[in-house]
Amino acid sequence: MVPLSRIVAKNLSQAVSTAGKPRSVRPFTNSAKERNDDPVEFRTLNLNPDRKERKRFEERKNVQHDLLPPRAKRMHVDQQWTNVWPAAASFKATAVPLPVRMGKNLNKKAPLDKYGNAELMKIPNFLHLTPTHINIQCAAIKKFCTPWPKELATDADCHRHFPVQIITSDYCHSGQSIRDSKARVVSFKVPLSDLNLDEHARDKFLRLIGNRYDPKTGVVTLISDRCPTRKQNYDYVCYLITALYFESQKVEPWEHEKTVADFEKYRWEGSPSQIATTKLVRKMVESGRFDMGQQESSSAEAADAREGEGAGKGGAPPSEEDMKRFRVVQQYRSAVSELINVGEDHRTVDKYKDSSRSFFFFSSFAVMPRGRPATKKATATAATAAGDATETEAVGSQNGSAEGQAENVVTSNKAKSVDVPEAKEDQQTKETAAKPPAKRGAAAAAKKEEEKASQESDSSKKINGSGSQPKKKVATNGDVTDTMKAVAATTNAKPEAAPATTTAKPEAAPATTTAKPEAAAEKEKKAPKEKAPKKDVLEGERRVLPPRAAKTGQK
Amino acid sequence: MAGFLCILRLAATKNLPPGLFGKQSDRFPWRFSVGAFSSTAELQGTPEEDAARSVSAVSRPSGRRVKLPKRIVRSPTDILDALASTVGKDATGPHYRYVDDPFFIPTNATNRRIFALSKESGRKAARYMVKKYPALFEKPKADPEISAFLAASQLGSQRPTEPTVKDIVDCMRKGALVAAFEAYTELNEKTPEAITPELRQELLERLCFHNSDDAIDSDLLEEKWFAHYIQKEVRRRWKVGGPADKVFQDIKPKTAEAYAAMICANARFLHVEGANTLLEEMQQENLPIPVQVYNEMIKIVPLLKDSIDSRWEMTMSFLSSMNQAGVAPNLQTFNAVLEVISRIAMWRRSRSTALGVFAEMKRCGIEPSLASYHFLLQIFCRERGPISHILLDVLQALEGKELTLRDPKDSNFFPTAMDVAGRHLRDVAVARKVYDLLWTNNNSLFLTDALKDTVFHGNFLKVLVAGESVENFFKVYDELVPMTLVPDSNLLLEMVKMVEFHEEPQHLPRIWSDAVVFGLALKDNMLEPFLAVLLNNHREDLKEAFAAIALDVKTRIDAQFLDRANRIPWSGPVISSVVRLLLRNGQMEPAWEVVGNYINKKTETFGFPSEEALSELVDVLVAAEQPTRVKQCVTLASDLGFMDLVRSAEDLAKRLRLPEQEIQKWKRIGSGSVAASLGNI
Repeated sequence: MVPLSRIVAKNLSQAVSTAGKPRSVRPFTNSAKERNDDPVEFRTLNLNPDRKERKRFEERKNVQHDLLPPRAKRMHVDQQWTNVWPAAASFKATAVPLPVRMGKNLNKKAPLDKYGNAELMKIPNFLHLTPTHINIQCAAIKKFCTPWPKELATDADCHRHFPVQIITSDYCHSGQSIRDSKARVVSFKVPLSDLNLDEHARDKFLRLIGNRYDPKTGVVTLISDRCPTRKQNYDYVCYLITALYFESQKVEPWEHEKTVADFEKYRWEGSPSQIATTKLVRKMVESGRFDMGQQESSSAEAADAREGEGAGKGGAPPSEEDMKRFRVVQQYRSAVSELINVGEDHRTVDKYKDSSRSFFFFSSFAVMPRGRPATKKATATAATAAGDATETEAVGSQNGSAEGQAENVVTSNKAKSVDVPEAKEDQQTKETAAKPPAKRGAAAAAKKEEEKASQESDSSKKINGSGSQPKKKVATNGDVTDTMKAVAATTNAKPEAAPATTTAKPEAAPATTTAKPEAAAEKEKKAPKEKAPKKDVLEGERRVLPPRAAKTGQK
Repeated sequence: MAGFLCILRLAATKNLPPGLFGKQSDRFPWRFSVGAFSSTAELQGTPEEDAARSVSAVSRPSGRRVKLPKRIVRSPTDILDALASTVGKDATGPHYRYVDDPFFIPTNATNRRIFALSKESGRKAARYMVKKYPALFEKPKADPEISAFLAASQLGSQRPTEPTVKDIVDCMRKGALVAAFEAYTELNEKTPEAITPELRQELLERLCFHNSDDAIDSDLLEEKWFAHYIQKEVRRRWKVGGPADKVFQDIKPKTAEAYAAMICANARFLHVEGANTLLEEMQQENLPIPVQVYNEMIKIVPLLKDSIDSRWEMTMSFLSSMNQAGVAPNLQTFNAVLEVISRIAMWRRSRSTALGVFAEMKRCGIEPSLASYHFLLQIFCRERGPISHILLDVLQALEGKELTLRDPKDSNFFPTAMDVAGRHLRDVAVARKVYDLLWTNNNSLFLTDALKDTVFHGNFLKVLVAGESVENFFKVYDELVPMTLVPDSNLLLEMVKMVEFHEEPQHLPRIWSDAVVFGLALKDNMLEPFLAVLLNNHREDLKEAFAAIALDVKTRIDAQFLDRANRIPWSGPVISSVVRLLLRNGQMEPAWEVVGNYINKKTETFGFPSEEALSELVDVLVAAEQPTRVKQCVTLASDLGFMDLVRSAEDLAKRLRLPEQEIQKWKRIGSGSVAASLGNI
């Protein structure tokens, strides 16, 4: 009952006071204290008067605890900090013996100090990553490390030896589950160039992977997240790359049914343009006025390819592959392809114009021999081609057996200025071209000439056989000029090959100089007989090259 | 906060077909994992597999072989272990069971226990809720599933309606032995043939080991640590006629293993008669007695026999019967024998016998454990016996050894050794050696509970107090106090004595502040001697600090709550010391307050202030010309019978230049009092 009365009293008083009314109603009480406190109120009913008035709980004052001083103050100067702060933790002012301050003080005073500073606790700290920590921890786990392979010194080496990259991500959560669905994703990267694909396969591969190939970096990226686990995704990616590879190698029967109209791009190969060009070139070669030895592109590959073929000038008709190597043909091909594939604009049209011109210019020897205009054209061609550093146009058709006008040599300015030995060789070549007119009357030395020519050809063979310059075919029929031109082309083609050439020169040069007059004379003898009208051209050419002739004269 | 870790691996793949990356298959490294990059185990197969595979590769363009070193095999936690080994002891930091914050670092022994056990009781409350509402904890939320998070993992949470053998096994192996026994009883009534003898034996062994109780939860680390405090009341006694006995009766015919389990349990839980009877039964039935039974029986020899000779006789009889039965003794046998010897107080032959046991041990090829050395020290270094330096030999024998726990009593070694070094040998160098041994390797784990920890470190500091220089002592003191050890008032007093002896009183304020923080400052046995020491030091530069201490004493005593049960009253010596210390620094007001409160009986006081204190105070008051206070003091002096002071009352009045009438009054102050009459006699 007593508790009941107390509860009633409490509730009533609360109800009354909360209603905001004066305390007019109070439960009965007999307690003296309450009576004294508030004489107005009713006495509360105390059913057990003997019960002692329970002492009210006295609220204690806020006790000042005796706290330890901040432990930072007890730290020794030589203590090991790694023991105090072994791992990442939020900032603890009492444990950090640094007078750190942070945050803005509104009273324009110094920033707040570290004690109870929430700003310092918010930011990540690196007290667990001091150099000492790193040294100690690295030393501790060093025993699990193996030495880095010496062969993989650079990133480039790594990429070269290990082209495949597999990227996965692991996620750490402080939750009940350690799983994260994002961890299943596997991406597989490989440079396309490291896949061993031919042109057809490459094309097919690229079609199959669609936008998974980045043309800028050349990297194929396969990403799989379709399976629930990483292992499965990894296996799937491996399966994909395998399937893609072999699928791209396949040639389906219907692929042959592809017609020109189906081509996604214009292809010069097999086009009427190519057929026409081939026909033209073949005609020129057959007519013996288009020497393959001279017309090759100056690139090393072409030189390699030509080596040892032994295809004589003018003899057998060149195959299509050979033909593609002709610089002019290549130029023409790219110009035509670009014109159609890229579209007609100033650049492509100009390019087409230039290449067509140059093409017709050299074919003009066969068809329409003319002096000045042709020469002009040739110079123009040379000028346009001058942009190419490796370019040396040795344009001119000659054949020891047939025509006497082998002296038509145009050398690009650039090539001359770049390569001195080459220029010399050119000069020698020009010599041969320049001298014959002067010695036209010396027919008496014909026999000697022949002997020397054979001698010379032997020495040329030696050069080409023994030296490290196997670039050019050797003129087997003892045509000195031809040999010399071959040497010249070689030096043009491969600047680094110059030393070898120069070493070879001492042997070759004397022979050449001695041989030249005779060979040239021989040609000259024949030339007037057969094609007199071409004198104009020769003269024109001579005019082009007076300084060389002068120099040779000095020699 | 969820961070994520991106692992980029340069890797070639094993599943790709040959020829994909080169014309020759050997051009491609099928398997590659470079040191730091390889960390995803999922894709890599087992470490053994990796290690076994010697990986090499041929580069495509240049043809140079890349020789990849073999992976160093390691367990999943090896890296963590290696990193953990770099972390040493943080001298100023609290144990990790406490929060590193001045408010939460306990500064005395009681708080240490309360803080730690409160944390643990939170854990227990959680357990309780799981047990009470198991339905809430049945859904596995964790992945991979953590069985400890589920209600089913709680001891005896399931009470199957139809118990099966599987239930018994499950409950039993989880440690829920009460539930297991219930299930067993039910099943035993219905289908006793379903219970195999092996199951019975296992159940019996587990019941015996835990004295038919549920197993102690191994997760409650703090309870274990403070076990000496908690379990003092509950002395565990063997439950006679309990579940273990019942299961034992069900085993028919009785096997040697069943007997062995019962005898060991009876002996361990101090049911000596039971053990003895069972052993006799076993012998009658001619069953082979295993070595564990002998060990446990030897351990209880002191309980079976009273006299020294009969104890040794009985031990020898057990040993000889072992010998006859061809049972080889083990480490526990020798430790038990040594324990028996150590329990035979003041036996003349104890030392030689103990050495004999050690020699025998060596002959048997058994390496003594720390418990053996512990008993050896107990035998040799008795409190009132001759001083023995055997500890030095023991330390030498232990030097450079990797110590492992091989006997439950191994944990007693370090406290004993420190005790011997401190109280028996009183040698600082030896104590330091023992201390260093504790902190090599993981030896500190041998201090298995709070009591051992406190005893060890307390003894260490006590040795240092007695024998080290002040500077060296405080170096160690800073390392250990208060995080490892909270000193008791005895140690603090000894420190005070040491400081006094070495005449370096500048450390006294520091000792005081420690005493305050550790809650020892106002203790009877601490306060008076400490203030006396302060009073004896007359260093000019320290008087201010000492006065501050005196003022602190005053504030603290006055600030106590009136209703506090164990409040500390003012005592006469304390009043005198405080007053004198304050007056030395010229702080008259607080000094007067102390005496004034005493005079007006505002404070509870035992004893009375000394005459020196009063006269000093009177002098100062006179100088300050405060006649009322001086008069009160003189009156007090007359009440207390300090006649010298009373007699000088007239002089004082004159010095205060009081009117003649007042002087006459002052003269009469002492005359009416008992003291005055006594003085006149």
